[in-house]
Amino acid sequence: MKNLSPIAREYMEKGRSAACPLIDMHGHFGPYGAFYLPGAPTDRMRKTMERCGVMRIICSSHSALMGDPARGNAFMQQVIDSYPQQFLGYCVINPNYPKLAAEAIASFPTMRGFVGFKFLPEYHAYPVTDPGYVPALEYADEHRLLILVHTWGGTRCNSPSQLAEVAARYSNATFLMGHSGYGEWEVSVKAAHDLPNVLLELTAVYAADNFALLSFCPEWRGRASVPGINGIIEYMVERAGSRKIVFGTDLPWYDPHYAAGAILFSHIEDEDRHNILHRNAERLLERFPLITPLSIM
Amino acid sequence: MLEFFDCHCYFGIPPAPIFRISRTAQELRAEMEFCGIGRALVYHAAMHSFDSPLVGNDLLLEEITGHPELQPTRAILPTQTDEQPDASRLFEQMKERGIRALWAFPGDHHYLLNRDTFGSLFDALGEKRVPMFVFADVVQIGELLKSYPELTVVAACPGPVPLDRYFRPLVERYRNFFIETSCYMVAEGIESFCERYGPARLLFGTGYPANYMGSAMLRLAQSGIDEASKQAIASGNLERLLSEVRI
Repeated sequence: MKNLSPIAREYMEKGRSAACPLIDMHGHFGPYGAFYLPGAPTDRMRKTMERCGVMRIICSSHSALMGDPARGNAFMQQVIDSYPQQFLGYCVINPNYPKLAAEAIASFPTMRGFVGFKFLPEYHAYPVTDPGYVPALEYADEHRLLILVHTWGGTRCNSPSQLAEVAARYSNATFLMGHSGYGEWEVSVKAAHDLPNVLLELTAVYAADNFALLSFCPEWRGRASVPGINGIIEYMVERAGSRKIVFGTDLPWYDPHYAAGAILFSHIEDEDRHNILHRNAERLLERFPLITPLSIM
Repeated sequence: MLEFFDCHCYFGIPPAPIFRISRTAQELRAEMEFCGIGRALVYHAAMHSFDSPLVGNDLLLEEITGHPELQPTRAILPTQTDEQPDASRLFEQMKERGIRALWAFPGDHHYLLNRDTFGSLFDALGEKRVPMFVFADVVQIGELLKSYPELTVVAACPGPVPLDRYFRPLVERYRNFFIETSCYMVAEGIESFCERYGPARLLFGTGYPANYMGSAMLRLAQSGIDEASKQAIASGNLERLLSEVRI
């Protein structure tokens, strides 16, 4: 192997690195009806994190996203309380239920280990630019929270340009562009470059999107495939800078090693790897009163 | 360190841009060396997408000359349009050219992967134990296996979303059905698959340049399975399949 990165070598040999841990800014929790996720049970998810050197993960529960957000957010709180050294949370906001969203925002100050909100506009069929998100956006702006927004290229509800439009209006909130506006790379990277409060988040970015091979799944019918993503990390580092990129996996969807492997074997510098895999996340999280502080050995 | 034999990678310029590709066999070798992959079963971009196997099959052989680490494959087409030799001629050519695996891209080349199209050719491939890598959705692959249960089929890039509910029944029903790992990225997927079926049906593939080589590499190298299973997936299973070819 001619890759000279000591971090890459350490991961290949040991599966983890004390000097360069993974902080996963885009996780989930619990089973998901659409797919079999063998890593979904709590013990298995924690085992995956241990195997892959994931020091901390920030999650929104599948139940909150796909069902009752109040019940799902409460469940996420239980997980955080049980495992404060590993789990942090995003409070899910579904703008289709404004009363529930208002209650979630009102209770946010009492939530332990939550660092902001998760928006899933496409799945909730509610554009991120529409007024239902305003209460959460205003609260996040006022309190300088993180907002992880699911984005995808060419979509009606959460394209990267829609995310940029919202982020520009709420400059004190930090927006993580979930999936980096997959496929609309130029727009996404420009948004991260131009807007100080927008970062690219890498979940699924490291996998070619063969939607043509998924035509039997109704929810993806008609989506354009992206033929390949090799080189996307280098492109993002070059155009937006590695300080504007954070690591994520959708765990328990995707294995952290699959994701980390793309970064470790991209043609970038180790300083960029440190930024992407943990330093940027540490910088974002240091303002929050965590139950268990982050510590790098 | 594992010895990797990549069953799914290609070089050449694809029709739609990818940020970083290997235009030549030399460039592919350089990327393999960077990552630590010793061998690869390769195809040329011209064999896939909207260039043509009629161009790409020969171009591949020409361009990998002098690169013994790169082993050739061939993309197939239906025989009815005089673009594909019949079985006996196909096997002759494969033997002459050291080809022991085939690729089918039915979506890009617009044909049906079924018995109406391929008749007894696929029966012959099954008898000769020639593995066929199929770039098609899992439902089509299931239909193919129903028609040709003895055919050795490798599902290329079943993912990235977790598709175990689709392909595990095929693994159980068809003893010659395999999965390559370039898109098998679901957390604990390899582990739970091996718990149930063992490692023999998984083949290491990177899908390069669709994906980074490092993704599938690190995923396998540090998966929660034993070292012997890792090495079987990394190269042993593919070596076994290719050694069983009888042409």
